[in-house]
Amino acid sequence: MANATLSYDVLVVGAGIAGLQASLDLADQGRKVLLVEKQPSIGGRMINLSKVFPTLDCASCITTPRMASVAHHPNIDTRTFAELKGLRREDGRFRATLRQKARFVDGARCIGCRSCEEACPVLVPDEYEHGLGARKAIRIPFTNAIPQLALLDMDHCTLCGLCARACPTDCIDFLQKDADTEVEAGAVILATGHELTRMDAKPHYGGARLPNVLSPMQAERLLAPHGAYGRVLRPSDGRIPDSIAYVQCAGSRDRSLGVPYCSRVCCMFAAKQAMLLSGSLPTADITIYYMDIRAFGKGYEQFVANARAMGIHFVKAKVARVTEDADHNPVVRLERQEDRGLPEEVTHDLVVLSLGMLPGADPVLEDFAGVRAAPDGFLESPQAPLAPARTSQPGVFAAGTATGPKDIVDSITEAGSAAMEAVGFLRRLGEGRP
Amino acid sequence: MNGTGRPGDNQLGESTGDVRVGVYVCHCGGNISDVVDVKALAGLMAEYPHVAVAKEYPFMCSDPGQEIILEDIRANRVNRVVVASCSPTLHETTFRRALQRGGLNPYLYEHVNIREQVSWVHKDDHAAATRKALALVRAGVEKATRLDPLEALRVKAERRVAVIGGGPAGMSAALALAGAGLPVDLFEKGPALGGRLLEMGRVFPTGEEATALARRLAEDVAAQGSIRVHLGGEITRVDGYVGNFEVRVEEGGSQARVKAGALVLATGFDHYLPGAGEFGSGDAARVATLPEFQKALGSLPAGKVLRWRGREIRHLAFLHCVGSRQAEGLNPPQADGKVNDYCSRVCCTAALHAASQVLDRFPGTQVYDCHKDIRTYGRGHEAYYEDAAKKGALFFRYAEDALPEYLPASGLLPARLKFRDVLTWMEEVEVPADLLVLATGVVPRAIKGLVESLKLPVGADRFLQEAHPKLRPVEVANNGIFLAGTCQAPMTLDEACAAAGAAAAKAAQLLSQAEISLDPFVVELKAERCTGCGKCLEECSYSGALKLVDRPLAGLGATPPGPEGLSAAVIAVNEALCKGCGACVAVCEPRALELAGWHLDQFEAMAGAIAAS
Amino acid sequence: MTEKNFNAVREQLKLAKERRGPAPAGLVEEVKEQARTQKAVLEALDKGPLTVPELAAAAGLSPRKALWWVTALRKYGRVAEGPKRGAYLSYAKNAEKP
Ligand SMILES: Cc1cc2nc3c(=O)[nH]c(=O)nc-3n(C[C@H](O)[C@H](O)[C@H](O)COP(=O)(O)OP(=O)(O)OC[C@H]3O[C@@H](n4cnc5c(N)ncnc54)[C@H](O)[C@@H]3O)c2cc1C
Ligand code: SF4
Ligand code: SF4
Ligand code: SF4
Repeated sequence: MANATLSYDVLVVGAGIAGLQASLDLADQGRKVLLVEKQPSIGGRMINLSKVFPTLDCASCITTPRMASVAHHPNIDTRTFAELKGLRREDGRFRATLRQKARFVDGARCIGCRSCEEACPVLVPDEYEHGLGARKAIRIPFTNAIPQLALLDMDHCTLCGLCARACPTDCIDFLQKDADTEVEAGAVILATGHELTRMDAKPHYGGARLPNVLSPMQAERLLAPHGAYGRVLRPSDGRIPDSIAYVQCAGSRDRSLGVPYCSRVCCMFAAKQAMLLSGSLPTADITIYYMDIRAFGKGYEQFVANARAMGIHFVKAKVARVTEDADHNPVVRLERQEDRGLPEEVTHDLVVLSLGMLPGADPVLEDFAGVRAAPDGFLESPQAPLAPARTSQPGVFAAGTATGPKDIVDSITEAGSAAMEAVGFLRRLGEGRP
Repeated sequence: MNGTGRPGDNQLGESTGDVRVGVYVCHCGGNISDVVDVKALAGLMAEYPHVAVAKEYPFMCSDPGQEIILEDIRANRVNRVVVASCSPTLHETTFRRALQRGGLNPYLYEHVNIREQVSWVHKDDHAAATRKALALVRAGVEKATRLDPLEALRVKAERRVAVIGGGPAGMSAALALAGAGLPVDLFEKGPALGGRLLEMGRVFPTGEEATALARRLAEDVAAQGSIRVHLGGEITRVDGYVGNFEVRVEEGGSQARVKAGALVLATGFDHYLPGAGEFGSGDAARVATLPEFQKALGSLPAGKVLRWRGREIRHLAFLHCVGSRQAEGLNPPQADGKVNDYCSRVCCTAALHAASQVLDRFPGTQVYDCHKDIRTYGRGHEAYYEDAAKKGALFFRYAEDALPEYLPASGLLPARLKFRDVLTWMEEVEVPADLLVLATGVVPRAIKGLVESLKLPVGADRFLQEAHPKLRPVEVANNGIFLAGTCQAPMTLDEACAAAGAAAAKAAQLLSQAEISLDPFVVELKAERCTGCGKCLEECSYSGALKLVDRPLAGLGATPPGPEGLSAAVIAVNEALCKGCGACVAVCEPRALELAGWHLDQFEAMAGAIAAS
Repeated sequence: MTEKNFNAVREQLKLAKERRGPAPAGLVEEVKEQARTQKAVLEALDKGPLTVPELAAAAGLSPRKALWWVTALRKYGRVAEGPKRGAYLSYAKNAEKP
């Protein structure tokens, strides 16, 4: 057995909501699934959100059950902190190389007690809080991470050994190395998700430079019940903000950035965050500067109507630049469209840039069995109108934001459809007619 | 079908000795603990009778949270579990499964909601919120001590799916199911498969002919031996329940009955039809709906200017959001008294797709586009917007607080659309329109018969209502019924096909085993107490769940005769049809009916605990 | 750590240091600096709860850094949130953890 390649019906790459749902939809039909996630926890973007539009369900509360169902499913094996490094077709099946990155912790022995984290003296900005909070060089990624395994960041480790002394199960292994393994599967689902536009993509918006100009994910963490500050404060000085503005399409619908498309979720997450902000800061003034409000999903138009009714200001305006005053208050220079259109400057306490979505993986660079990307960079779906989950390669399917910006519900339906495509493909494979 | 576990008689007295309740109070991040004093709550509960352990934790639903419970089952011999957290709709099953993994019967679990019912609604009084939470958790423990182990119900399932509606979503669902090895009956009431595709021109974003796409799908369906297509038949009714539906259809003058284990609804949408005179509609030469225009566009010969019904169209105006995004007080209500307040999702892109075709083929026609917002959100959609703008379409944005007004042609003046334009600083403009195209929205197709016979949930927008708008978009509250495509919400073609795949996935999961298991919270009969009065029958809204049957002969069921020895009838319960609503329990005077898992004495004990707090 | 593993850890650390080379430039300095800052922050809070700007002044940090530090120390239980003062919150040393 030692050298036998593990074999599965379907390999699912990416454990965001699309990958989780596709895995469950397959496993519940009796298919054996291997789910691979490059981050140390499953859950993708969604587990990192505060609440979700349009239901305002707490994201943790509705994502963790899916994550737990996957983790406990007898038909699903999960590999976290592991990356797909090449996919080839061999004798009608797929062979994948997975790189298991070193956690420097023995996963079989770690009990997630956090003793190492307590002991470690090194503080590092926490990527899970998008820099707003801190973590240690060794840590459990976040409270409801799955799996609950510690992970050591060698770039910030002084090799002082305090963590190993604190660990009750002796599971820290400073000598662990990345390891490549080969697996085999009949079909593949790519659910590699999305990234966000870089904060400094439009330098004149001040992102990454001005302390009180935030990314939408930082805003999510301000609003999350378990977020870095535990409440809404501005990063420059911890003041409770009184005036907050959103700049829409900051990174989408902009040919100069190479992102001509609409990112589909930013209008809605801005409206959602604005509502949540006004819930926790009832006296605050909240403004959304936009071109078009794209509330096209089920119940979304009514959601935006509620936001307006709560007193959120929707202002049709073009934002030219964001600077700051001596007190780090962001100053937004804009041209209103409703009024005479004269340029004006408005000072806020906090500004959020509604960044757009970029592809989470490059199929060519990462050598995904010849799967192609479309000109927009997301995976191509050449049979889109009728079979949106098919990629340019038979047997490889795609779900969620891997094929373009999408919200959670659209990612979930697409995951179901990718799962069914995979099932159909496997059956034809079994009958010898792929 | 097996019976449920044995409740009723097995009361506290019998099991008191070893009832060991574990109480777990969740912080829900800070959702609960910011308001409720969770430490004090757990501390107080630890002292409560029958409570073996009481703990608090940031996220009980997380893996480490569940692990705490499993550990207590192992190490502290906990045999009843109470979790005080969010709403049971979120996590009741999560924790039941955890109990199961820990080797306990999953029904020895009680969920107490201290988030929606406490912390979210009593934000301003922390002390009172904590007291209320305490009362509720105590009630939960009282119930937990009286719980009995139950077994899930098992129903045999017909391994076959009925797909209703033969448009692209219905065909895609059928193909996906057949691909997974499930036989399918596909019902289309029209004469051919294809649905709305049969009456469309070219589709965005690929520009393919809709009819060609329909043909491709129909050929794939025909090639699948396991799909039986029923054309031209009206479905008269659907009976039954999960695993055992029966579809009745009029086919060629006779009634056919088809059995199915699951149903996929793909009944699609209707185009919104403008009311008489709404934005000039009725004047067919000068005002068209977008679907009419789209369909005709393909066959109009290219030329300098567009010609429509014999007239030269130099000025062509599109008006967005007709029949969608309506506001109360502004738009006249629809037949049911409500306005269509939703966005129809597809009309912006469809309108700009048409606009860009016109600009390509009729360079002499000036195009005007009057909108509230342009919602070309999808992959490839924005390109039509950019293209139309580049080729000279003029864009106006009408103020949302007033409806644009249609001014008919008079004398030398062409017909015009009058409104205040946001983009020119609220100036009043009159846009000339030799032809006005109304970008009409999407409304659900009327399927009253199906809704009534299946008791389908319908939303305020009249579309079928999914089980959870975020996480369960293709399921409905009714077991075994799934939604594909625009019967649930407006969608583009690719979105409808994706939803069809998702609906097929749910149906395939359901039927992947020969038996379906259902929650055991159904009504139980103590036959010896039933007088056969039949009052419960009147209360029950689920036809077939209860029925009067002849009392089995003594010896067979060993049932003694009724109290008076007069009644010959007794109630029988069909557990698969019973929804466990309990309406019958309330009217049964001799207390012959009880709801498994929700006994009256459990309620009494809960009420007692709350009153005592 | 169990007794028998004491030597194993030492051996591992030695090997790891050989493999990786000396700790990344600046890291050791950074960790020392962190220890000093942490001490300064906790000492400043000894005198009672402070808002972020007050703490910044008392500990000689930028307000932005001061906020990051209270956030970090709050996460690891050293600091707790105190009452609101104007548009700021105050932070105090956590009684439960020295
Ligand atoms: C600020 C913000 C707020 C939002 N709010 C909402 C909301 O309220 N409601 C809503 O419906 N939607 C919201 N969204 C959108 C929502 O986040 C997405 O629809 C959803 O996350 C898409 O899921 P996914 O699985 O496609 O992608 P992701 O969540 O990005 O998951 C993809 C996963 O794949 C992994 N991966 C990528 N490449 C590889 C590889 N080579 N090997 C292994 N793993 C890999 C990634 O690490 C990641 O975990 C919001 C988005 C943003 C940015
Ligand atoms: S060895 Fe590294 S991870 Fe462990 S305590 Fe020291 S610095 Fe932290
Ligand atoms: S969703 Fe809204 S903010 Fe985002 S790119 Fe589209 S129009 Fe702009
Ligand atoms: S898609 Fe466009 S035209 Fe259609 S209802 Fe929505 S905003 Fe109006």
